Amino acid sequence: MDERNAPDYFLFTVIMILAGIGIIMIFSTSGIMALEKFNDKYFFLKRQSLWLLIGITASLIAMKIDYRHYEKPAPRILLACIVLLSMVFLPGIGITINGARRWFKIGGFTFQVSELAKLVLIIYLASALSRKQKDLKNFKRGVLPLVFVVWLCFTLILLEPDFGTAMIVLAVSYFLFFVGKMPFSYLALPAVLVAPLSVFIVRSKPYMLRRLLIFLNPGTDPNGLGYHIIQSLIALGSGGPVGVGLGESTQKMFYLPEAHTDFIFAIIGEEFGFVGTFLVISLFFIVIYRGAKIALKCDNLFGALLAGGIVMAITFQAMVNIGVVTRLLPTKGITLPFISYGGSSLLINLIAVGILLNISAHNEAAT
Amino acid sequence: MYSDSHKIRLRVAFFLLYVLCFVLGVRLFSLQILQGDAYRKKAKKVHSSIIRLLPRRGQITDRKGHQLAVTVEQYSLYASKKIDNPRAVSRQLGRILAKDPDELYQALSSARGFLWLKRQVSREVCNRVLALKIKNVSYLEEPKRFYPKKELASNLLGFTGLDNDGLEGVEYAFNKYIKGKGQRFLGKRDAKGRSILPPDYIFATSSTGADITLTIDENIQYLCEKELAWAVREFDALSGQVVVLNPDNGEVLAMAVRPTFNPNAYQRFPISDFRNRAITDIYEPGSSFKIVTAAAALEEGIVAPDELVDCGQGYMVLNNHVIDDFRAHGKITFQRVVEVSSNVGMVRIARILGENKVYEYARKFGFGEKTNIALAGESKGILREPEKWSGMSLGAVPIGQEVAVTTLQMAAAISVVANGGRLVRPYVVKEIIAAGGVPIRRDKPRVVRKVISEETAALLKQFLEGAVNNGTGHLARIPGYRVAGKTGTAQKVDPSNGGYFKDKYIMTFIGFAPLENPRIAVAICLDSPSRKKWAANTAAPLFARITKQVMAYLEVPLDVKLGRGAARDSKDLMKAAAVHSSGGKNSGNSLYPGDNFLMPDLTGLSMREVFKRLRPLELEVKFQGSGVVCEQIPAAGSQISPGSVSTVKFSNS
Repeated sequence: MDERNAPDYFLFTVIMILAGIGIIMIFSTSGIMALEKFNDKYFFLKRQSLWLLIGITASLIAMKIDYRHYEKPAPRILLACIVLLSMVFLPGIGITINGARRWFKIGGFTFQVSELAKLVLIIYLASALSRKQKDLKNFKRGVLPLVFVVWLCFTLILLEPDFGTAMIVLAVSYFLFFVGKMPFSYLALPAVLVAPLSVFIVRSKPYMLRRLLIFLNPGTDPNGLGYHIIQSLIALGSGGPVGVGLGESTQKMFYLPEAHTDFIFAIIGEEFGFVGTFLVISLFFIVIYRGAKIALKCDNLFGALLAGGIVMAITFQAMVNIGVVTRLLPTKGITLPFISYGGSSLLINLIAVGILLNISAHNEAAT
Repeated sequence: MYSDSHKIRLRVAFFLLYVLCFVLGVRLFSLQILQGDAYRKKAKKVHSSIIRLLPRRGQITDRKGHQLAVTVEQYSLYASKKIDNPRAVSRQLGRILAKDPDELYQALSSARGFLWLKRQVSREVCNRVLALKIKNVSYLEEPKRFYPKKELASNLLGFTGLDNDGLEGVEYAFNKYIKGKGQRFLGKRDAKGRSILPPDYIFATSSTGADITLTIDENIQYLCEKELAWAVREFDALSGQVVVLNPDNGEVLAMAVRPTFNPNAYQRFPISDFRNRAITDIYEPGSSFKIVTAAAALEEGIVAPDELVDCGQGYMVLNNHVIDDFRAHGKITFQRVVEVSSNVGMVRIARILGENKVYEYARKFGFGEKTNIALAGESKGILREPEKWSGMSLGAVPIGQEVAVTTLQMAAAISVVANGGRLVRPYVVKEIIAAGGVPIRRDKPRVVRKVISEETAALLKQFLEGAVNNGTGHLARIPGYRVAGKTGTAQKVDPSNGGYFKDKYIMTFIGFAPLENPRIAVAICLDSPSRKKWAANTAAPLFARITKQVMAYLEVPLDVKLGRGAARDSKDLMKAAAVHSSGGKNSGNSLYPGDNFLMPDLTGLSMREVFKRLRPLELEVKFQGSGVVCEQIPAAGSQISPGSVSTVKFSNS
């Protein structure tokens, strides 16, 4: 059991390529804007590169730490994280950016706690679900505490507000409940509750849905949202098969002003065309494939759930981001993992990959 | 604990992710491949509301801040929205803008949004329109490049195209500094889709590029161009170049090229006129290249300055190749070989030096490599490695054949002699200063390498002074200064067959002044002057004309005492006399103390020479006898005054 094999370096390489694409595209999309705002066109590039270095270091460290050490202290880690999440709301500690309190300030950098919470919640759920396999049929002892924890995290993140991350937290939790063999009767519950209600709303008063979305995500007004999505489609579509060339995007200049974050994929599409977008999707496809292999090969449920949850969190978020950018999904406020600008997201995702690789290293030895 | 049923659920979940990937791939294929054209059209429509402003180019000045290239503002008037009372407004505007009021009315009343009223009007017209205070009428500044001195230094400066990018010369090479950031503004659309220029943006001028200060001196540049134009016309040359360097630090003080063009209307000139021939064009320099061979011979200790070299009957044969001198010099000193520019003598020395040394010194003098002056299109010339030399090469390279050089390289090479042995990198941009006054780049003098010792350089100076005073360069002499220089006349290479044109010559002159502490090094090239056969009669006098004026402009103290018998030759006296007669007798601080001159020593001169020498002194001369002078009255060294009578006796003995 203690024999270690080499971690999945192929997967790590793919992640590094994604991060590399991110660095290039962040410079391409933010250069002109950074020059205007900070008189330094490398402003975002420098910061993201520094975060990437920190992230790679953290990832390599996480790769060395036996993932089974996380199992026992998981509840305490989660508790600490929930405290942190609440502290964002304390004046003087949390930083408000664009009307949302999501950040802590550490040194010159800001840190987004919800990203950390996402990973910690996965660890906690993986540990709790694997421990409580027998209690899951019991609603009070098995299901309710887990649902409460998820609800608490979801609510705190939603209140920041960070609608996108909250949704991902919900989706990943649901995924873990599903794989962790929560009975279908409970799994179906949200669907049973939400479905008729939403059908009713959409049928009778279509504007209600929009209102609901605005309520859940007040940072966006529907006109603005629609505007951005249309500009995103124009960017993607006008890229055509091979794109207009690196740095040549016009859409990033005026029409997608925050192109280095949520809509970076649209600019990849404009500058590199279908070739570029297909490449990025293929890379995420490989991440799913190799991640699934790690989860399936694992010899214990905690490891399998942890690996599955991490892969899900990363790739599902990517799918949602691309879905939004291509107008398949109606929301906004989700970044593209490893590619979008954002230090805490990059750091946490790289740590998660490090944990995933540690699991892979144990797998090979076990088989 | 980890059962197969867990694995099945895992597989199901991951399968859903794969499906998601696939769906997104299909969606992207549809968006980018199938609907790509439609979106491209949409993009074009959306982007049409972007208003582009040209950035303001920085100016280019000479070393003293005289403007050579500037950006002038033009004013473009527009209406941003619907205008009230268009009938009255169009009448008012029509008058000021000299436009038909009816047409203007049509345009104003049918305009859906942004409308240019008139582009590129003067500030005065613009102010008159603004004074009317019509609501929604405003202006944008549009910069335009302008070269106030027209042709002056145009081949060096280059010009900019319609998109404000530098296309040639300094404008091209330093475009990224001078251009400035272009700004684009979004003409936002209102609810009805009309474009509205956001009011805050209207007065935002586009950002200015950096200013460039050149090492060029406008006045030296001007007089070089003036004299070069004279020479090209006078001698009927195809083209010509003059480069003036500060030999100590490599600053380019002037770079004159003919033919030239007016950058304000460059479209009207053939592309070949744009070339900065001083750096792009290469040619075989001929004898002026002999400074390299002479330097090598002296530095390597092959020959002493006063050592006799046998130049024989004026020709020699090397590998069936005849090298000739046009005259039999016989045995003359090495210094004399340089002064009279004997090919035979020079090749004889070169054979002792050997191919490798000749090549080594040519490289050291900067030939066969770019000077890296930071301008585009510079040629490195041709200097083949000794391995590629033919049997004839040792009879050619040392006298400036089988090598090709640029005029700038020649200027740098003669600077080596002038400054005591250092090859300095020529540079033309002194500094670049950002719009806010922050220096971005400051070019410093750079010594490329030490080529020859101070002693060798001093000997070469002496040789080259001799070449001017007693050799082929005598028309390069100027009054009041000791100058050094070397002529070169080479058959022009016919690029069509690699051979030589029969009747076309490249005539060069390289030199510097004053001899001690030289202030300028000059390289001249005239391509195929048809009226004269030798550089001695074309490039050399052009050097004199330029140098004389530059010395005066730079207020360089005279280093030759004029008058009082110290006058070195007739030319100085001629000048002295001219100044004297025009300066009037009462000029107290005249260069010439008193009104009297000293009688020169005429002994041994021919009648013709005596005549030449005494004519400027305005003496009344009585000649007796024939032959050479044997007696003179008054005696040499005695005081004479204009108009006095002197007697010169000649004899044949």
